[in-house]
Amino acid sequence: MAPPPFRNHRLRPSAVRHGQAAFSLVELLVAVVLGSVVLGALGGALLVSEMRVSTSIRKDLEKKDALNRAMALMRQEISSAGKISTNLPNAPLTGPCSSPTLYLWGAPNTRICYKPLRFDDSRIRTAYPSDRPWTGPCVLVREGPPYSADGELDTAGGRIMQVVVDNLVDCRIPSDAMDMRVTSAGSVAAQSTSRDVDVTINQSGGIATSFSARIASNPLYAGMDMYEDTGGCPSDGIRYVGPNSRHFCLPSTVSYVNADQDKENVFYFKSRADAYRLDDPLDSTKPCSYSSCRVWLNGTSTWAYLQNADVLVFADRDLRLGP
Amino acid sequence: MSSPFSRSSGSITRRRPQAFTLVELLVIVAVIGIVSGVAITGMATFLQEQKLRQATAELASYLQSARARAQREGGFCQLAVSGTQIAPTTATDNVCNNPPVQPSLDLAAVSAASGLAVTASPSTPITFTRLGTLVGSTATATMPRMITLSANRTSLQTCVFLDLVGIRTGWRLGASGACTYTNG
Repeated sequence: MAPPPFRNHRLRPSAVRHGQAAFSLVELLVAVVLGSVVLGALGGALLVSEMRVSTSIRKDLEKKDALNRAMALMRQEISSAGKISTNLPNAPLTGPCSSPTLYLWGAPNTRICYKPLRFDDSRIRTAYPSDRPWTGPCVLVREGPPYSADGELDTAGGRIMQVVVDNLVDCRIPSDAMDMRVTSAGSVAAQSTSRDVDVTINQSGGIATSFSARIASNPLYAGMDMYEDTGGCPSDGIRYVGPNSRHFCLPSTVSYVNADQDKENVFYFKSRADAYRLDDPLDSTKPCSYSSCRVWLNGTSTWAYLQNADVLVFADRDLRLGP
Repeated sequence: MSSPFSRSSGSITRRRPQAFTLVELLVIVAVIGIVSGVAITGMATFLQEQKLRQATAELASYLQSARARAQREGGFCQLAVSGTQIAPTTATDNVCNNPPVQPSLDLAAVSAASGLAVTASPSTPITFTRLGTLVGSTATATMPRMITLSANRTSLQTCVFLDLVGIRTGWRLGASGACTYTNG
């Protein structure tokens, strides 16, 4: 008996007739489905990977942008500071400014500090009750007055805490994370003060960023910190008497100061020199001199008559008076 | 026995290996239809979410350019969100409102996301200073500032977080709760 011509009843007669094997529609459909699943999974994985890379790059840029801005802000604030303290172990202020890594002195309501805190610190949670986009283990916070629209410190706005840099390696002070070194004062000891600092910020992933900044204000002015003190100026104007010098802080009322000639008399003014007009009270066409000097506030109102004034110290420069 | 088909197998036995019945075809068509429907719906949601992400990126970029302008021109730049638009305010000395005025940005137009809604919290204008810092205080809840974007067909919401020096973008599912800001 001859074998049946179609051994596999699933094969189409024409295919078998030509000696070729072929797939049935069901097999094809199964293959198509499997192929689609595999290709879809591969494509999906590729798409997800691409999106992750793109997101990662964007987040990285956002972080770098924030870091650059934070450093620019610190440079600006250091430049405007009266003097700088670094790595203070004791509390010049309460709250986050206790033990600051960087403390910028100015008038009492313009003082600013920077210090690292753990990113989940309760003070940060209080200041930012909802979203906290920073990563730990530590963040750098700034405590000080907020800014008003004109770019000046809003001294009426109280002191607030803001996070400026995240992803810091270490919260200790002094630390690898936030190492402020005094360069010009020749000391790296705690409580050192300087007009010139190097700031290094170490972030996770081995990223270290550093910059140098220097106080731009008058060194004499900054060093003595005599202006606008919390207690106001004494009625006689004498704030401090040194072995060879006498330092004055003038009250807000019109002052007549006849200083003794035994020491160098230094007078401090809280604003830049161009906020004042100086002349000789006996002859307004003559300049201010050691023996006779009149100070006009804003060029309009007389503020002080000074005799035997050696040096006038303004926020931006100092002036030694001629005889 | 000359015929290749046995008489007993009948016509049905002959046809079964060669074609599908109408019912089988209908089932296949229905299955393909259902799968495609699900896929197309999923794709529509995905596309909508992509449009939302695009709107967020556009907004962040707009804020960055406004901040850069405040720094470049040494004044403050103030912006306000109204509907799906963000534009400079007419405040005196607003550098972004000086000629050439910073063009307003309509997030619905640039992203084509349907039902786009933009919510700024707080709703007061956003001001960048000449230092590139944001005006506001954590004490009065005017810092940080949040702008959230939502759209139809998705529970995804995107968030733009503005702080003293940083602008960051994140997301959340639903209209409440904190946003997630993926680590780099």
